Amino acid sequence: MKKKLLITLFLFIVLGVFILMKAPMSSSGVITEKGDDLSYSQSTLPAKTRDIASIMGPSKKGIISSIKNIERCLVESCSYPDNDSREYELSVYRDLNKKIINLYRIVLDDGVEAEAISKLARHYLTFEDGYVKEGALNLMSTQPPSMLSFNALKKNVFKFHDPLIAQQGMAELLKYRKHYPSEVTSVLVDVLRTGGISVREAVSKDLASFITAKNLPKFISVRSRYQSGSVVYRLISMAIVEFGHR
Amino acid sequence: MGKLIICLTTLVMFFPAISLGYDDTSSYYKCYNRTGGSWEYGRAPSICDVGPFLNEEYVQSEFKTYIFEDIASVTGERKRYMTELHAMIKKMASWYIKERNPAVGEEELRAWIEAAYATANQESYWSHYRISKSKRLQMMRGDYGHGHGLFQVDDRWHFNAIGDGRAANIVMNGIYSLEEYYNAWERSAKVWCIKSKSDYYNRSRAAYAAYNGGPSKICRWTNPNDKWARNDKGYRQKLDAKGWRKYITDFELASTIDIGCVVDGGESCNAGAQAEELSKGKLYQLKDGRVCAFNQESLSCVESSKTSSCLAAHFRDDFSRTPSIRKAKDELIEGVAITNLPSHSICSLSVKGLYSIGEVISVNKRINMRATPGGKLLSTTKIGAVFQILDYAVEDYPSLERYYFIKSGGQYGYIYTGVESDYSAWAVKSIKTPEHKFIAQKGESIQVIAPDGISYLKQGIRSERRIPQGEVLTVDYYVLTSINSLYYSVSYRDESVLVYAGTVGELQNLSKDIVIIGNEHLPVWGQLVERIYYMNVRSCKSTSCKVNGIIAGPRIGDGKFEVLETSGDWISIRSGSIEGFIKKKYAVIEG
Repeated sequence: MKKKLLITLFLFIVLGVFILMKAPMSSSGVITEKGDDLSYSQSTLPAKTRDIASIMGPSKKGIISSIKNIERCLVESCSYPDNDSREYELSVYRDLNKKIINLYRIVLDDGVEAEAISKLARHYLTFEDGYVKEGALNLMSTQPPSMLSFNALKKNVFKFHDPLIAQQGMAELLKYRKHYPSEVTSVLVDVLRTGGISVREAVSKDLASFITAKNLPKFISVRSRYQSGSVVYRLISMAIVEFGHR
Repeated sequence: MGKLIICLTTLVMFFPAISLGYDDTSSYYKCYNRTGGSWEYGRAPSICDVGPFLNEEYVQSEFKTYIFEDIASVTGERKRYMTELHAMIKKMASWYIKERNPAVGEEELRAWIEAAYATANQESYWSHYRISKSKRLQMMRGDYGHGHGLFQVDDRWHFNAIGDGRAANIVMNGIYSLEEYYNAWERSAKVWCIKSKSDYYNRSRAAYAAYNGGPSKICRWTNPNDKWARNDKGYRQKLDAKGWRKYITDFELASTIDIGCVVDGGESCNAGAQAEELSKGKLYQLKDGRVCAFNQESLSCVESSKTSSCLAAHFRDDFSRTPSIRKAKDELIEGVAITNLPSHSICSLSVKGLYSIGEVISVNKRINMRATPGGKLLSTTKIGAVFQILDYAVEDYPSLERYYFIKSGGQYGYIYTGVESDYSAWAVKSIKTPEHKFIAQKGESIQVIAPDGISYLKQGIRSERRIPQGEVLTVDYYVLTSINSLYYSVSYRDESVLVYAGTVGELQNLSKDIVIIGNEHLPVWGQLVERIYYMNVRSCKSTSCKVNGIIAGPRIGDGKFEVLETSGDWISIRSGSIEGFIKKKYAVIEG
């Protein structure tokens, strides 16, 4: 009997997991992509909220729930304008950005360093919107480096098409240049080879801090893909000159 | 013509943002002489003047083929226009996906190009430039004027691309839009509503849904009850019907436009203007971007088209004016000797009265400062204002118009300062202190602020030793390379050595390791508080102000910066080329 109950329970769990995996959209409003390990879903957010609130103190709790409430508007209907096909979603993202930035300021001022904050930052970094990514990167800027955050940066910042986000990502990448030099070099070389056209410029502009004697040939090699008069070629050249004088 | 090129190069550099940001742009923003049209290919309503967004001369010289002329017979003109545009969209879409995925397969490439055709159809009926019966050069503006051009770049969400002219440039309009579309295309391979990665038909529908509705709407096309389902339906109809095909007379026509060249802000990007032979009095662009004059069986070249008028002035016996630059095919230059000329020397020797980079000038008139020599107006200088020259552009031999690149207020830009006959009426050398000083003059001092000191060159060889932090050095002279790398010659331990000070000009990036010292006092240094990794530097004293750059804190960098002013909760700082404000509570000020 007990065995039957256990099997039934197991099947329920499997079915639950299956339903969650098949759901077209996670309740956080982010598209669930195959094989994607989303950090949060609505069912887990309250628990994490408590974690963060307990880290930051109860008086700051409201900010987390207000972020969560706005995020919910991506799957529920809220009173944002909807006069053209894009207005609603962009308005939600804009508000989300404001709230995340508010959280960032609190975290910065209080000097909070906690995995829960990093996890929240990684979650918002998965959103396919420059506004939300900007907020997430600000939040991430307050936290120590980790392999999870590095991977999130690699996947959600440098493969995105927004040069402003990439520029901010370059500052975040500075945290990793000593610990993961070859991985960081790969990220940069990949962007210069096949990244977004505008992102390549943003990356080459701040390249100097990442050039070392070891990876210099890789940057010289990737530079040869560009015409010598092009902005990217000139920026990589400048970075190499700067490295030479460091 | 040269000024137009710099225009594009500069915009690539200064305004690369794609970031979405809401701007409450009014309907029909800067829409002058609005004219109607018809819901047919090439003529979608409305059209407004191109001028406020992009130089018309540039459009005429680079994109003439893609201008729909109402003056001609509409039926014949549509066939010509559509055939040319078909070839251009094909080349542009193909260029883009190969840049992002060099290993793209044939099937995906075909689907991607079809997706680009359908998107341009759905957005604008393949409409961009048009000359109406009023003979004005205009551009398609849809959706109450918010949508700009071929891919309808919206001025409420993409104002940067509107302001810097990318949306008005037919190629950049496409590239800008494909950046976002490609992001959705890649994501579409992994979303629940796409069963197979190779289902390119539905992937293009998904990518369009995200492009049109936002990233979370990537599967909107599966929901017929969505408020905006009609957009997805419309896209599918275009994708299936391929209505454009009936107007195309030559499907195999190869576009002559060099997409990479336009993206790089190059000149004469229409490869149709290829040189057939080398002769005197003409300018040729090599594959690597150098511009050359043919003289006595050899090519004499400068680094870029920016100084091509100096080249014409240098070989003035061969040139009556600055000609259009032609592409030089490889076979044409095979075996021809090529000499590289130092651009700055050529310009200062050939252009009478041209002031050098680093010199300080006072302007005698109110002069418009523009983002590019012929581009967007940024501000107007006051009479008597004093600036340091950071770069220059010389245009149109034999008049030799000169434009100086300066910083005024918080912005960088170009000011026109006359021609050979009247330049001194516009600006004269000055001994006053400029509004912004980036290059130290002879006799002035610089101080090393890098904690590890700085390296130096002795007789061209890098020394093993370093000049330590705190050392004050007197500048004997400065040297600029062809890419505007700046070096100071200073005396150190009784020897003349060179120290690197960064890059000046359009790609300005000054070294954070040294500062120019004023006459009165030594600089005040600061750094971010210990716990901060890095921080945004703002253009004014509010967190809502524009971000001028990012400074690193002691946890990830050397982190020193110069404190220029302290007032209230904010401090004004400078670190290399980054100037702006940070909150005082995040900084430790030394001394």
